[in-house]
Amino acid sequence: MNPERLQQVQDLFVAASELPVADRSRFLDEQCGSDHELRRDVEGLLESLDETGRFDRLALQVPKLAEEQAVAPLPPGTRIGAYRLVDEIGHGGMGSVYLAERADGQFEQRAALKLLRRDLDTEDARRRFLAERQILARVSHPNIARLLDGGVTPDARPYFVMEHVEGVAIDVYCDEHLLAISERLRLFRTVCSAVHYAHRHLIVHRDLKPSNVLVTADGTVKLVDFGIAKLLDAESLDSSVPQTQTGLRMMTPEYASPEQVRGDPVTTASDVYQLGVLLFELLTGHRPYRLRRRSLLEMERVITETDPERPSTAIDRADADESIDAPLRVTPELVSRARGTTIEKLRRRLSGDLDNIVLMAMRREPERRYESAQQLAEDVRRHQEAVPVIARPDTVGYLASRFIRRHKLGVATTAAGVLTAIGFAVVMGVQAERTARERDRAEQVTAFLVDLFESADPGNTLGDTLTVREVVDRGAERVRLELGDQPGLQATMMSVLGGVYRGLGLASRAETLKVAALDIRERTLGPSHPEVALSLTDLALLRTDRTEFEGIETDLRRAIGILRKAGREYRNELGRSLYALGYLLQATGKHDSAVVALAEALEIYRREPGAAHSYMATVLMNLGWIQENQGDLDSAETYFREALAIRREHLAPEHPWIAGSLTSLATVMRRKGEVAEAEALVREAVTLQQRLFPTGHRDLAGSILTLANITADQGRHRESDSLFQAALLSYADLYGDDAPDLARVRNDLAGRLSDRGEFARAEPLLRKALPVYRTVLGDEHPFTAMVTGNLARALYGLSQEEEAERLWREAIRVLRGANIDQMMAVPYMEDLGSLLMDRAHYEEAEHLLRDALDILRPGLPDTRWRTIELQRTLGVCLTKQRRFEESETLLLEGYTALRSEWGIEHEWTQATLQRLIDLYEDWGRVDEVAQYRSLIRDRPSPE
Amino acid sequence: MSPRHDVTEKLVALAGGRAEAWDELMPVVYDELKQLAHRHMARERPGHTLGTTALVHEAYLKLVDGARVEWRDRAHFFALASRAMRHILIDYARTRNREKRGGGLAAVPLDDASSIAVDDIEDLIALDDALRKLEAVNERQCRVVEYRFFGAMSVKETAEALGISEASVKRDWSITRAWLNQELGGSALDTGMPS
Repeated sequence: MNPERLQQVQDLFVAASELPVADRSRFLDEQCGSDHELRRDVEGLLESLDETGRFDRLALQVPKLAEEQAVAPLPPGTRIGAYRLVDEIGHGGMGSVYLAERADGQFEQRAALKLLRRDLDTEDARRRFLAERQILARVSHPNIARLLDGGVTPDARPYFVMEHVEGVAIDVYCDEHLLAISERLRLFRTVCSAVHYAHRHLIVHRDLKPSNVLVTADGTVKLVDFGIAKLLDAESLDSSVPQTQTGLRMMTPEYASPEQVRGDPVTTASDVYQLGVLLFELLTGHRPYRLRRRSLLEMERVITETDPERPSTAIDRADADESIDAPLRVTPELVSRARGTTIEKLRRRLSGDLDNIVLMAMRREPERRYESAQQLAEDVRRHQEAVPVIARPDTVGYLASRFIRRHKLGVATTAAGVLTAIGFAVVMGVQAERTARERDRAEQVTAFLVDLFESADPGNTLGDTLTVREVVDRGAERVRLELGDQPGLQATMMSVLGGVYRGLGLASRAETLKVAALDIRERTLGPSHPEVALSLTDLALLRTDRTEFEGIETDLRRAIGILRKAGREYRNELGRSLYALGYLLQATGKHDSAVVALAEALEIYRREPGAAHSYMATVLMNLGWIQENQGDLDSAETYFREALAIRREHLAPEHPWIAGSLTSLATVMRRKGEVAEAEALVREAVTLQQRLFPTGHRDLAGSILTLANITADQGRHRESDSLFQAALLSYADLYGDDAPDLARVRNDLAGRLSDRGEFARAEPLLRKALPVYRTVLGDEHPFTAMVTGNLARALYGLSQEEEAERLWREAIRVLRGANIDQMMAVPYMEDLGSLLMDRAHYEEAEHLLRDALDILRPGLPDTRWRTIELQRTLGVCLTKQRRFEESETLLLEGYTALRSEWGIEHEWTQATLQRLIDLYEDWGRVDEVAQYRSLIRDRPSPE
Repeated sequence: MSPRHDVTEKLVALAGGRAEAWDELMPVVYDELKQLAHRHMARERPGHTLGTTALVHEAYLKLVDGARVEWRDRAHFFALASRAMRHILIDYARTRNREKRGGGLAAVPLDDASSIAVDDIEDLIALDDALRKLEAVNERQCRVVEYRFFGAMSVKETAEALGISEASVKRDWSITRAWLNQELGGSALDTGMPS
């Protein structure tokens, strides 16, 4: 065929194809005349226009073409089953949707008829399809569009008839009506209950997304296409294909759950995931993952291997719609305006509960999501009613690690210290390099990192500045892909980047890399190589951070064994492994063994001039924390001072770790009663941190809290109240309203309020704090016990004695059983003692108070006044039991000491005096009563 | 100089009218795609797609610095990649076809290492033959199919790469679609020999 001839055929074809079918024949008669060959060619083309040919079948495998190539719409009036088509109202890769009505005119009801492209070409497929349809037809719920009918056309194409819903997609509805977050949540809960209803009937939607969740003009939610996805899934209907790969191919990737992507069985948990995605989108205006411009493989990886961003930070995105034709940008301003609020308010609204709820629904492991759509809805309701929600940030371990680190352990992980972390990680990574060949590797590592950061230069990227995290993500990917043939370098790089992730607080990614590095080293170097020991140690540190303690001690002891044999050149690494062991033992409450390991690490570092100062200082800090916890404040002070000196000498003058040492030392000095020095130290830390972290930081918030407590100690209530407030706000800004740190601030503040008798203000703070402690640290943790005890105190103040008693007993039981400074239990024992006395349980009270006195007996300087106070209470208890002489001894001892120390006018002296008078009155010693009464200050006259 | 930088430069040059850049770019793009395809095929189970879209986009992200090229350069790249993709897929299909003939029909099951189903192999080869015919009489239409089918380029991108209107692309596509269906042997359900 020559070009002219082809042109002729094509022109005629185009012209004819635009004519109604009935007119084509006459048109071709006119145009072709006697040229039968021409006519046959054109007719051949016209025929293939209306059917699915072999080329079409190929083209359908290119998703983009499949979408475009919807079947030509059937003309109005076509009958399908009991329905007559009215009009095509939509089409997609899977088929077309028609508006239809009953052909027999029995009902006026209009319906949506979905005619699918795919053929049900086997009897088995047809049978399954019809069976499934029967199940769906049983669903009857006001928020689910009903399936009215369904069948297979004579040419083997399946169709469904559904209740026709005139509505718009839920996201569009919310934005058009500028619905506030609370209204969006209300709609979302309706969606959840509809989904839950279907789940109870064993029907999974499998394709929940805004376009399947419609809202009608009167605001009614209607879910459409329930269960249809399963019918569309070739493999679920075709028994000859093993049910493996549903994959991204069939779905909207942005809404696919990890198990759907992997081709694992799809359950109700997948719907819960998709509800999470839907909620994410309703709240933020963005989809959780940015999948555009990614290959299928990348999409699969992103969905199955990464965690979505938190909604509260996702709102900062300014996503360009990447279809070039519509460069609409979803900006933070647009998003917040559509929710009737400002960006700042929106962020605060989302952070905390809502972040946690969305992320819990979207967890990668189905079994770790909400158990049901209903549970999800209930958590949303709890959030709306300001009751604590079930959802927690991903791992409790992660949170617990934040807690533990704050309270006693310390490897600084500061975002601002990222570069330090990177530098440090490089040092640690390459310190192990011994031979000349391995020194080259150190250079390669550096070169790789430099390259990585150059690629992060805004000039080199797709526009926006990459975040550190993106840079590191990219680096990790390159290491994985490009260094496969250099296992040594690959393992080192993985280890280095793992360290960076740890510095960024991305523990799970850090762990993945460190595990991979360990794997490579074990494989290529054998199980007893020192580098394997380094990897084991890395991993142990990480897992300890995450409070995943199982098996770590064995790993570390193995690492230590390897390094002990490895000789002098691995001394520093041995120190580090010992440190890691100490850190682990400390975290698991084995303080004595921890001290042994840390002390050995310290010895090693002391003997190695020019040793890793960072680790030496960290070891000292940890030793200090242990001593502080055990009540040996002098030793703690010594360790902290040495650590501070090392850090001042070797680090930049404005380093976050210096501030960390300052705060820890301040805490000890405060406990030693050196309040003035404590205040000076913590003020230095605050100044330093304010310079380091102008936009706020956890460590800064922590220092402010310490300062708040110190000023409160000195009775500067107004100043301390505003500092507590500042600490609350700083933490809330950083982590949202439910941050565990906030629980601590609330606890401390409540303690102060109780001291001042403001129990009604203290109680709600403690009620908010306690569940957080219980969840994060567990019921048996001493800190949880202390908060419990504080709540009991507030309740006692509010005369809710029964609950107070129960809580105090719990607190004391835990504290007495814990391997901590038993001083911590004394105030609660004294309090419970008073309560028991109120209830006339004198014997038990006496027992408790004497136990408390035994704890105090060692006679540490800061316990003297405590002792006297306790003796006074015990004295009262004895008076009540009419054991007057014993009581007199105790009370007189206290009175004398107080009088000589503070003078007769002091309130403590006066309080003791009053108890003494009470005693003599009960005893009937009239003379003493008169004598002591004359000493009471401002006592109203008896008349 | 990194290949990414190099490809980006050449692409800009190509858009600037330096036509020989096309020939310089082709081998780079071809090699890259082939590598990607190899990896892809080794990892994928037999699937529902030919995977071309994914591969071409992956190659783009890998070879081109998106921040430095214009929309037009992007279309050129995809055009190049589409043609490279055609060669790769067809080479692959022909190789597989030879294996199949050599080993006898029954001996060749669906190959786990292939993203192309056995049925598609014959169709792909038939498509290639048909496109050769088409190229001889209307090169532009051949390109439209290459870009749309092998490169999964949109109508707009195809129009941009060929310097024609979108309406022309649509028209060409609709014609060639019908023509190719006919060339490849009518209905998909029809198992008859190609005419």
